[in-house]
Amino acid sequence: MSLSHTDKVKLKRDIGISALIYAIPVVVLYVYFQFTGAKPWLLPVSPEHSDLPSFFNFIEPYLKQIQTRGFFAIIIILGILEFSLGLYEKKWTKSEKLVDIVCFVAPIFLLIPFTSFHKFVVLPFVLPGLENYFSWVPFWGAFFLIAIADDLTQYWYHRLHHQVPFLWRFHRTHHSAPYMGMAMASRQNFIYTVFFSQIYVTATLIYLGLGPAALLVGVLKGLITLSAHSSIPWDKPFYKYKILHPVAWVLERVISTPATHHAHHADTLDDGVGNYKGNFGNMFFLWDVIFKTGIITRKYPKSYGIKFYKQEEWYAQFLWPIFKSKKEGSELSKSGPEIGGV
Amino acid sequence: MAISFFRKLSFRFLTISDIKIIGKKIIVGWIVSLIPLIILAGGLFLIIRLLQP
Repeated sequence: MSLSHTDKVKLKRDIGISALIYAIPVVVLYVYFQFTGAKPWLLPVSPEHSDLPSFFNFIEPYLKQIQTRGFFAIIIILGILEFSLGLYEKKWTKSEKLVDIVCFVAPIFLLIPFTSFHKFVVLPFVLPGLENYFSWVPFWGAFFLIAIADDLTQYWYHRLHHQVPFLWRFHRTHHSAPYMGMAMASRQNFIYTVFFSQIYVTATLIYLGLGPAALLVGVLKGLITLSAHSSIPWDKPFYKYKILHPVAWVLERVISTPATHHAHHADTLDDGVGNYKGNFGNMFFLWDVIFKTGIITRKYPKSYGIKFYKQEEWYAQFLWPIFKSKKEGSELSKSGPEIGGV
Repeated sequence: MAISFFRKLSFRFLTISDIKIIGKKIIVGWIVSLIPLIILAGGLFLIIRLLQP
């Protein structure tokens, strides 16, 4: 199975547009320095950021706590609440529980060697002497630069895993569950997770001196993506009350909401709500608006998952193609069909 | 015991096809990472070069 000509043309066009979007913060910074005449890069390279807003110094320790422990706490507390309220009903079988728990716990330990190797070995080797080289970038410039770099990169990583057939099976685990909730946030094949492009983009920009802005972006992004996966329909009041409609209109086009992201996890397109062939945005839904891959209905799908799910074993879902499923006809089995492009 | 455990997990040595697919996936990941990094880091270097007194 391969991409159609139309898909290839659209992909090339969208990649070109993305290159321009990536360049926007750099162009804005150039205009800013041209206009103000400031040349902060002439100051000695330092890990200290002189222009940090005062509020940042106050919230920095809290942001660090949220990024390290807070997100785990949110996932666990909301997950328990969802389970207690019967969200998963009878769909959370022993096999699904195993997949969810392994995908949540194992990467905590397994990812460390990869990210540490990148941080302590690859970056100093590939970019010697450039640590904090861009620490002169103003905080808010760095904030928008990281927000665009991190999230647009993830959009592309995600979109390609849906649209390029040979990549789909690495992302399939995230869509296989017939329910939607906190458990989905970390349910991924490990090879998909370990090569998450935006992790390495952001780590490189942190090494180059954009750390404080990356911390703020990381926390905001984490909160938005977790809430988009959760079963708390915090966006519903915005659709219900007419006075809030203008806010909803902006909100659902800028960031991922539970409605738009749940639609991405739907198991069908036929109801006009589900859109597993789009709604790829993680923090920003804006990318789906720009590239016309998004559908906004303000409704939630009735069912989730994938139609050709075979309830594969946890080890196949977590580590395919290293471990393969024994289920006959499964995409994750040895010589399994490459359905792809979903 | 270890062997039977891995057999139970239906572990097979990675085939050439599996290694190719992982390799292609890594290359896609690198490209997706490198494009923004080149544009952003290159752009910031360019700002310094263009506005150097």
